[in-house]
Amino acid sequence: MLLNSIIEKTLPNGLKIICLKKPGVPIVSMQLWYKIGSFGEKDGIRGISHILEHMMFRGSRNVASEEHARKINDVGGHCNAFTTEDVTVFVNSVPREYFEMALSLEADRMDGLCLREDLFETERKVIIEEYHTYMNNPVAKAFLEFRQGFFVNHPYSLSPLGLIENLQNVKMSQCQEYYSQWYGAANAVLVIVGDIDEFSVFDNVEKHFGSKAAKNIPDFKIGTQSDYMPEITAHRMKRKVEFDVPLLVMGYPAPPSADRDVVAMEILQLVVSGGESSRLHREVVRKESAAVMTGGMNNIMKYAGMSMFVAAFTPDISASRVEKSLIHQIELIRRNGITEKEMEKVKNATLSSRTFELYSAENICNRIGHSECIEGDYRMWVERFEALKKLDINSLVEVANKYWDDSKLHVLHLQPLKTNPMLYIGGLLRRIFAKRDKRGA
Amino acid sequence: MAFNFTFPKLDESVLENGMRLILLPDHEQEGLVAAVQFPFGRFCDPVLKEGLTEMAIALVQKGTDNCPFDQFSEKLEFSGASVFAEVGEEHTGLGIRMLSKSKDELIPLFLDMLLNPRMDRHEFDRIKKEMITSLQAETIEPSIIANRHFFVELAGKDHPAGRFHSIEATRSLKLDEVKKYYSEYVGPQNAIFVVAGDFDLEEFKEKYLSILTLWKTECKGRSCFAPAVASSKTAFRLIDKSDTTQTTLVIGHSMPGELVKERTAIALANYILGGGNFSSRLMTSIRSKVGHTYGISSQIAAERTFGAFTISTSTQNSQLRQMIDAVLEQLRDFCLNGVTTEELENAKRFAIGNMTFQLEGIGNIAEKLLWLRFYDYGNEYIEHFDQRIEKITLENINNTIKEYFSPDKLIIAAVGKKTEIVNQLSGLGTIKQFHFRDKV
Repeated sequence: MLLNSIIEKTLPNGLKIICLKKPGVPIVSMQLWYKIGSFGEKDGIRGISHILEHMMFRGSRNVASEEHARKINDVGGHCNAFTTEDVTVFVNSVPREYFEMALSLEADRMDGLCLREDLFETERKVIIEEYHTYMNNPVAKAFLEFRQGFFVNHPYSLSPLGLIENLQNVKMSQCQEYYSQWYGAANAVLVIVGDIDEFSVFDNVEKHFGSKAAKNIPDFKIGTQSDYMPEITAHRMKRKVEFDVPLLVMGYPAPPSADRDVVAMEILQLVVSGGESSRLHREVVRKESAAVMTGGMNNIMKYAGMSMFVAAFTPDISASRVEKSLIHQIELIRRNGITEKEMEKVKNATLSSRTFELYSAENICNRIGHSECIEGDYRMWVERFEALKKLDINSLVEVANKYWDDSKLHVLHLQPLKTNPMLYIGGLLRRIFAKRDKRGA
Repeated sequence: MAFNFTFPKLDESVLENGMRLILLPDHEQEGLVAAVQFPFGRFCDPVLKEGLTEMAIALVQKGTDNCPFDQFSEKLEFSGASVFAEVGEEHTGLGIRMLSKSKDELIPLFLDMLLNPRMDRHEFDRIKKEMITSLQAETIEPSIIANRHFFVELAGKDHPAGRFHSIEATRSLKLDEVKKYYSEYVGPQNAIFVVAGDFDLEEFKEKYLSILTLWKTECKGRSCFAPAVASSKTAFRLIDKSDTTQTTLVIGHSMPGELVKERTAIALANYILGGGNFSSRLMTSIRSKVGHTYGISSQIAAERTFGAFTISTSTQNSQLRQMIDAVLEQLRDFCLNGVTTEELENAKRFAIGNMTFQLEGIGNIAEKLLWLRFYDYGNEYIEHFDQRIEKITLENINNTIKEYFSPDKLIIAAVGKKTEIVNQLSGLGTIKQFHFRDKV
């Protein structure tokens, strides 16, 4: 039903347009997804996709530096951009009557970016500030190291922020070259959702983007997708950090975004870590009191992923005990799979998040863009939900064993730099008395 | 600029027990939101019992007299529903988001939670542990540290804005205190209840009106609104955090609350100075022109009568002084020369256009209705929003800036590596020094 309402067209220059009319509130969200992110960067220019994302607001053929944002803000809209490992995305949401203005602004910078040395140097400082804001968080910093150990010698080993030495030294000419190489209609998808006239939307897009050159985009994908799967072998790290809560992070490999196993992995993750009825919360937090909080997520990217679990615990508990508890829950899933009731929970949770997503044009835009550019086809947004509903729960055991493989498990233990001994003693006493209570009962 | 918005037909009433009930059927999607708001919040926490409101609201979500936690969470999560809560300074909200197909099971469950919370010892102990862990995690966050120091300097320890959750206060909370607090503050007399989404009006009334009407408590409809504070001093707090390469800054002064008559002009002025994302004066002059920061913004925290104006940013330790000077220069110019006609017109267009985004979807509409009724505003407050904005003249806004914004009586809190920043602070008055682990 939803898919039938989506219309699409590809212009002769290769730009793909995907539209969904969402009547009601007179606003339009428009996102231009370029299929290039930090994955495509080479040594020496790590972080250049993100630099370019910033420079796209610094002026183009007919738009002065920062004018794009100002014009969108001046009509009550908002714009932003983000860079991931796989894509760079430009977001504009405006009141309906300014849709064409947003289109013209976005079209202007697709092929008319004007890089100026003085602005480039100022923006370099901004980006370095952004880098330091991230790196000043000791947990984020340790996690980055964990990620480097997980995706060894792989473009995913770095965050899209890149390397500080590259950010300090990359030249404007390299940025220009990167822009010329990757930014173009043939490497982009324009997603439009809102209170639009679906009959005239393509004419409008064609008016602003139709004249863009159909340039060739280099194909960095040589070989099959599996060639881009990283080699992962078990590894463990322990770091003392200025953070007062002991943390344990576990990472297993996860499939690339287009893989059919992604649906099964999402189901499994939700059962293990989703909410207070999840296995980890029920067993590890409540029954065993081995952790104070638990969580998890699958970080699924285009060519590979990481299935993660996290536990925060008290200083009187050893990291090895927490790890053992988490692994035990995963082992139970590997051995016995999940229950029918848990499967029902996943279906309802997915339906619910889908239903509430549909109230927001920007959220829909985001989901369509993600499915098209990361998962390979916007229809995945709907089809994956249908696949989930039909999935045989017995097949989940096989998927759990395939990815949650302890011979590939990475573990990060963050230990507080300063542990208050009273916390340890207090926790120990509480546990001794709790045990006595249990014996007494 | 055109702004056409009319609230859908609302069924609004005040029940015999005092509860204000707003029903808004909307069948755009098969979702439903029910939310209730009360006029109490963090500012009601007694001295040395900071965290009491948060504890009460966390505990209420852990099962009912008729449904212990395990069953409660299973019923919710296995239906794809979620309970949400917000503890503000002077208001507290609780709500549920669900698929409409589950409403017959979950609306009664939500009401049961509100009317008959279980509040058992085991859950209380567990939440306490969670709260302490969260507080421990917060101790390293420079923006939280800077904000706390700013507010304690601004309002002092005798004002609720100058008191914060602490591990010690959380440890001292007792279950009986939480139960007493809940029964004193939560009741129909001071509740605004909104249901929005895919439901049938008559069916809802038939099934639930009697439950809501029969809700009786010992609650006296209590609320607590904090008084405004005067900006009467300049102060600088340096908080040493030696592992950081950047300094996080909060700069500001007091401001009147939501109910001051110049509220709209203050909001527009703040938008121009630092509230307007990439287009604001602060972003343009400090990020775009010189690259001193990744982000800088100004905010107005407005409760009923208490309020504060703050500018937040971060920069490398080595250029802290340049950053402070640049912010002060912008603020001086703003207060001395005011804003231009063009800036005012752009701010008005932003405000009017942006309101449309705030009304997208049932969740946003429910939230807006709760906000309106909390301040006793009618629907026309939003429906005629554009008229109120358009009325502001250049003279109005510039007079407002002169009256309420000041570059002189500023409080500055800076969290950074002391050895790298202390020498940059000459001429900024007395510097009070702290360590980031010091109790605030």
